[in-house]
Order: sequence, then C-alpha cells, then structure tokens
Amino acid sequence: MKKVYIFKTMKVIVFLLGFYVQFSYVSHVLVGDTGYNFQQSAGFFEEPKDSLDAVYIGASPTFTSWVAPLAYKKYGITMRTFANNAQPFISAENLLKIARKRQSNAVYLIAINGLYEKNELSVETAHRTTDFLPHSLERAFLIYTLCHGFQYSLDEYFELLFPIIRYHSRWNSLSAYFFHRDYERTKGGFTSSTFLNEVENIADYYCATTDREPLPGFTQDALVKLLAYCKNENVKVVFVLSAQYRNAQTVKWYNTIIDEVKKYNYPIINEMSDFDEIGLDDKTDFYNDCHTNIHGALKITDYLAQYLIDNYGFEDKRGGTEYADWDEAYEKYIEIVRPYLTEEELEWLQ
Amino acid sequence: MLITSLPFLLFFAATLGIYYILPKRYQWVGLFVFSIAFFHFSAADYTILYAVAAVLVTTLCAGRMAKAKTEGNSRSAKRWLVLGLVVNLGILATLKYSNFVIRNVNFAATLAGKPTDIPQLDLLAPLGISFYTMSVVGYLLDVYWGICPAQTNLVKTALFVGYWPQLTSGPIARYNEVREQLYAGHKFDSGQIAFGMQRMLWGIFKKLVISARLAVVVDTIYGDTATYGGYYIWLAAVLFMFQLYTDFSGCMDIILGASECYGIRLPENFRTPFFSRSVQEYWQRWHITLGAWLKDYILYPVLRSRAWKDMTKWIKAHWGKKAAKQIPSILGMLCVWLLMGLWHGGSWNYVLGMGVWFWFLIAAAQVLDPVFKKVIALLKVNTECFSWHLFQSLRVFTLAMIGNMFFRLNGFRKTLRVIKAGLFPNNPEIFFDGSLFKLGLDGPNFILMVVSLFVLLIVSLLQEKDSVRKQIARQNLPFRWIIWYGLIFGILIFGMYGPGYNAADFIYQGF
Repeated sequence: MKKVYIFKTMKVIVFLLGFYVQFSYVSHVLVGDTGYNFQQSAGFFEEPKDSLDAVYIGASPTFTSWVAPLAYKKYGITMRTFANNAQPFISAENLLKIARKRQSNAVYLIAINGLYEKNELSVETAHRTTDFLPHSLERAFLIYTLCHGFQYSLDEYFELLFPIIRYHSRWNSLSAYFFHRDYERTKGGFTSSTFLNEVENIADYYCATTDREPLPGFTQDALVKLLAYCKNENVKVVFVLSAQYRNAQTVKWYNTIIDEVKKYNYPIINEMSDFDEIGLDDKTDFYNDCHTNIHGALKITDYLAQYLIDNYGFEDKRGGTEYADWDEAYEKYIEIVRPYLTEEELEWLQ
Repeated sequence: MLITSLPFLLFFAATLGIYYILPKRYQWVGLFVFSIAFFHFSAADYTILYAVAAVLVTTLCAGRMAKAKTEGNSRSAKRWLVLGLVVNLGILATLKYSNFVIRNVNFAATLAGKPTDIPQLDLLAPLGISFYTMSVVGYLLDVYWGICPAQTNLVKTALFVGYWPQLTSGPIARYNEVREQLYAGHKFDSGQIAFGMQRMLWGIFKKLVISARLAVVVDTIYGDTATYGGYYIWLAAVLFMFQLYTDFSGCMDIILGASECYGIRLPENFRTPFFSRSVQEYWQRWHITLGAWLKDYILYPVLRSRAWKDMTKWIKAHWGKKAAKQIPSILGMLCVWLLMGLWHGGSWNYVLGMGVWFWFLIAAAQVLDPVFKKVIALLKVNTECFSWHLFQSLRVFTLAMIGNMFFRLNGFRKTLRVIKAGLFPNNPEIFFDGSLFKLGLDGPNFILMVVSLFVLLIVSLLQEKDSVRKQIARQNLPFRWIIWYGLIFGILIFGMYGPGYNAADFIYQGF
C-alpha cells in the first residue's frame, strides 16, 4: 500500500516537473520582445556567478550610456547592465536582490531614472521588466511591487507572473527567431541602429531646476526600502542620475531622491550636473531627449569606469582565461560599431 | 468568478486541499463554506438573501410536510407543499419574469388603444436561481410524494440548494441522487481526482479553444446581417449549434469534473446530442436534467391529473380512441415545452425557439409517424445503414438549429428577418475565396477552429463507446501523458483568454 502511494506521488511529481519544463519553454518562446529586452534582462543571467565587478540597474538610459565591452577593453573592468526599457525605479530593490543572488560581491549602480505617476506605467510596459527574469519568489515580490505601485488588477498580477497569459495569442505569428532566441554575446553592448546612427539636438529640451517635489507615495516607500536594504546588507551601491532631459516635475523628483540618498551617505553620480565634466554635448551626443547615442555613451562609459576604478580599485581582468568571453564580446562589438566611431573615439580605445 | 479563470482554478485548488484535510464528518460543512465563498466572489452579496429565503422556507415546509404525513394529515402536508412551491416559484417568477409580464401588459394595452407605460423593474437575480429553484421544487414534491425523506438540518438543506459547482449552470440535481454523497465523508482518491481534473481540462478546452472561436464568427455574422447574407447566415447558424454545445457542455464538464474531485458525482447533462436520430432523443441527450425534471414534475403529474383524465374521456367519447391517445399527451407536452421555453427566459423568442418549436416537431413526428413509416416502406429505405442514421442526425441537427436561431437572435421578427437574409444572395463562393477568414478570425485561427471541431467529433465518437477518460486510462503512461500535456498546452496556447479577449460568460450562466 505504502509502495503504491510512493509510486503515485512520484508520478505526480514527475508529471508536474515535465509540465514545468515545457511550460517554461513554451512561455519563453511565446514572449514577445523587441530583441533588446531579452538581451539586457536574460543576458545578465548568462554571466558566471560572481564574475562581475559591477552591475548597472536601471531603465533604458543605462544600456544606452554604458558600453560594457569597450569599458572592458579600455580599463579591464567587467560591468554590465541589468536593465530594461522603461524599467521603473520602484523595481530596483527587488532587482537588486535578484541580481545579488548571482553577483553577490559586485558594486551596484542604480539609476534613479524611471519615475512614474501612479497610473502612468502600462502593464504592457511593465512586462519588459519581468518577462525574462527566471521564476523565483523574488520575481513574484517584484511583480507584487509593480502591481501595488501602479495599481494593477489581480488579473494583471497573474499575467505578469505568467506572461503566457498575455502572449499566447502570438502562436500564429511566431518566427524561427523566437524558437532559437540567442544572446548577442556583446555583454549588453547596445547595437540598435538608432543608437549608432542618429543624432538629435536636444538643447531645447533642457530643463534645469533646483526645486524639490515630494515623490509619489509608492516611489517614496520604494526608495526608503531600497536604502534600508542597502544599509542592512552592506551593499556597495552607487546611485546614478543618467543623462536625459525630462520635464520639470521629474527633475524635482530627482532632486528629492538625491537629497534622500545623500542622507544615507551613498555616493551619487549626477550625469546632468556633471554634463560638462563628462564632456557631453547636447547637439551631438544624444539620439533623443532620453538616450545618448554611441558618442555620448562612450563619454559616459569613460567617466563611470574611471570613477569605479578610482573608488573601488577593480583588478584588470584583461587577458584572464576566465574572461575570454569578454575579449570575444569586444571583438564582436567593435566590428559592429567601428563604422560609426570617429577617429578620436577609436584612438581612445587603444 | 468565471470558472475558466485563473482565480477560479486557485479557488478550486485551495478548496480541494482544505476539503481533504478536514475530518470526514466535517467535509460537508467545508463544502457549505466554499459555496458561500463562491457566491461571494461571483455575485452581488445581497442576492444571497433570496437563496437564504428559499432555504428557510424549503426546510420549514419539507419538515412540516413530513411531520404532517407521518401524522396522516394529508391536507396539512399539501398546504405546506403549496406554501413551499409558491414562495420558491414566486421568488423566481418575480425576479425573472416581472419584466416579461410588464412588457406584455404594455403591449396588450397599446393594442387595446389604451397605451400604458408601466416601468420595468431593475431586479438582480441570485446566481443560478433557475437551477436551484428547480432542484428545490423537485425536492419538495419528492418529500410530498414520499420519494425522499425531509432534511431538517438547515445547513444541510442550504448545501443542497447552494452546492457551488451547481450554481453556475446546473445540472439540476435531485435530492435523492446527491444527498448521501453531499453529506458523507470522502476518502482521498487520487484516481478520482485525476479523472475529475481531466474532465475539467476537456471542459476548459471546449470553452476557451472551440466555443470562444466559434463565438467570434457567429457574433461577426449575426452582428451585421446586412453585410453577411446568404450562406453566411447558415454558416453562423451551424456554428452557433456547436458554440452552444461546446459552451454549455464545456461548462458542465468543468462543474462535474470539479465535483468529482470532491467525490460527488452530479448527474450528467449531455450525451453526444448531435448523434440523436429524432428530436425527442435529442432532448434526452441535451440538457438531460432539465428535460427529465420537466417530464417527472410537470408532464407526468399533468397527465395523471383529474382534469386530464376527464379530458381524455371526453375526447374518446367524441373523437375516438386514437385521438384520445394522442391529443392529451400532445397537450401535456405543450405545457412542458411552454415551461421549457419560459425557463430559458422571460421572452417570446425563448418560448417560441426553445419551447413551441420543439413541441411542434415532436408532436408532428408523433402524429405523422404512421405516414413516415409507410413512405419509408414504399421507398424501400434501409433504416439500419450508416447513411440513414447520418441523414436522421443531420435532420435533427437542422431542426434544432432553427430553434436555436430564435434562441440566439433575441427576437421573433429579427429571427425571421435573418432567415430571410439567409435566402439571398446566393453566394457559395464565400467558402472558397478566403471570405471566411475575414469573419473575425484570421486564417490560422479559423483553421484551428475547424481542426478543434474535428477533435470534438473524434472525442464524441469515442464517447459513444465508453468514457474517453477510461479509454485513455487503459493506455500506456507515455501515451496518456502526451494526451494530457497536449490538452493542457492546447488550452494555454490556443485558448482565447487574457488581455485582448473578452472573457465571455457561459451562455447558460445567465439562467
């Protein structure tokens, strides 16, 4: 009798495991993405455990301003982004916890961009942050944070938890790409043609204010929780205000966050106030008001890399056999971007 | 709470877990609590008061009736029966038929040249009122007739009335069929639970993969009959038959499967109705519990009543033996079919489409049976071969389809207008020129709909032999698992649910 019971239980477990494996694969295939969602989010988990010097968490300005393979080539540091388009700041704590499970000793750069009003971020956009994260309790908490913050319904909670609920109807428009979604292996180095090709003069968008405005309640709570977590866990963290031109209210929120961060004595890099020091030019270094192009990205990469080396003294990883994939990433990336770089930029790389 | 939604599945999983953790003697209390929770999640809370009233009156009347009968006081028993019936049917009639009566009074007054405008009432009926009222009325009559004992425990009666799987769309259970199962303790039986879940899966597949796709095409055509005339109309009529079947029987599969997981077998409501060879047989295979209820609690009592016996005698004396055999039963059936139509809703399209039309077909078949037999003999038709059976089934399908057009199109005149639109233009090219892929479903989805109808046909053919689940259970494990994984992922990938889809209620959920 007991044997029968054990056999039946085993059968149920095997059935459920089989289901989970297939479910994960089918969900992965069906998830719709713009390409870089997958590269930035899932790509992070391809890195060997505790192999990164630093991790950069934030919204799209992170991966449009940090060129990981070139920073490695120039300075020998291994830092990559764990970011996604429109990734809200309130997700930072959960993402930090998820990232620390793989890269426990890394320095964490957290972009404070990605601020939204309560009902501003659509569920569709929130999917970009969560779709490619591996299943875990922390992912469920992250989804709860998003649903609580942006007032999503129970149904929306479930569809973020199980993306197949949103994407299953794509079955009739799947292409081979979705079955063999592969990593670009550029360590998150951005390759979008807009990023490489385009320039927009954004000087007119500039909005400078030193005023402060209280953050929306849910963002304030998220900030307090994040700072407390970093303090309790002794996380080596650097906050970053990425270079982008936003409206007056958002800038006031940034100022409020900067004040809070300073209270905890965490370093903050304000790329907007350090605009000239970085060498950014609002006529040539952006492809739109929110994102730097390859030229602006190189300047910010240089600036951030030097800051990290100066403050954290990372070892030079170049030439190490275990970092061969970084060398390969550089070779691959430079082949893609070389045609778009100026003589001066190519010289900088040497 | 829609029974194909994720919250429902979580609710079900949680209740199932709790149910088997509970000591056996308290399992029925658990079911009662789950039913209250289901009601809370699925309907406006205050409407539960109607159900509470039904439970109180039913318990009181059944108890008093049983007592009166033991004391030999049949008049008192009858009084309690009448009270129970009047209250229960009164609640149902008030909530469901007030507006039907008001509309007809207004209409009649207008015809009489004295227009009135009695405003319609905005009453919200509790979940499953048509189903549980039938169960309660049947129970009271069974107690009165001595077929079953009275239940004096209020909570146990409440569980019988409001057992949550039945609340959505039935089936209409008889007290005698379920009482022992409902109140008994049930041992955890993994095989039974697996069977129940398999049935639920098949029901969800029918609803989300087949019915939901059919609904898109049917709604597109019937939503714009000015554009979609000719063969489009008949295509929609055919597809609606399958939509209604997969919707209602899918719902039943989920409900019966869920109940089976608790160890409680509810009565079947469908038995491959499209294989019926006569309209009468069709109604023995379609919504079985309603048909059987009307037969046992309306038709037989009517035929046994004194008035009917007197009428039969009168007809025999004046019109002969043959007429006395047919006319009373045909008139008795008219009562049944009028009620069948009215049960579906307070509207003439239900009375005509689901009532009078089927009564007419059955009565005509009964009257003309000798003529049909003579024609068949004259033409030397082989009535034992497949082609004849197929012809019979197609004939029943077509006749039922016309009745269902009244059901679907919500209006007698509208239905006639649509039938007329089906006669012109003559456009058979729509089946070949890709027009079908412009009816709300793209090519792959339309093809998937057709393929899934074939799957339904195969499963129905297998069902004629034996339970499909039993047939699958006899196969080797890899084959079994391929089937169940296929079904699960068929639902997950091809099901019409989630954002972008309107999570339509089950058609019979409104009754």
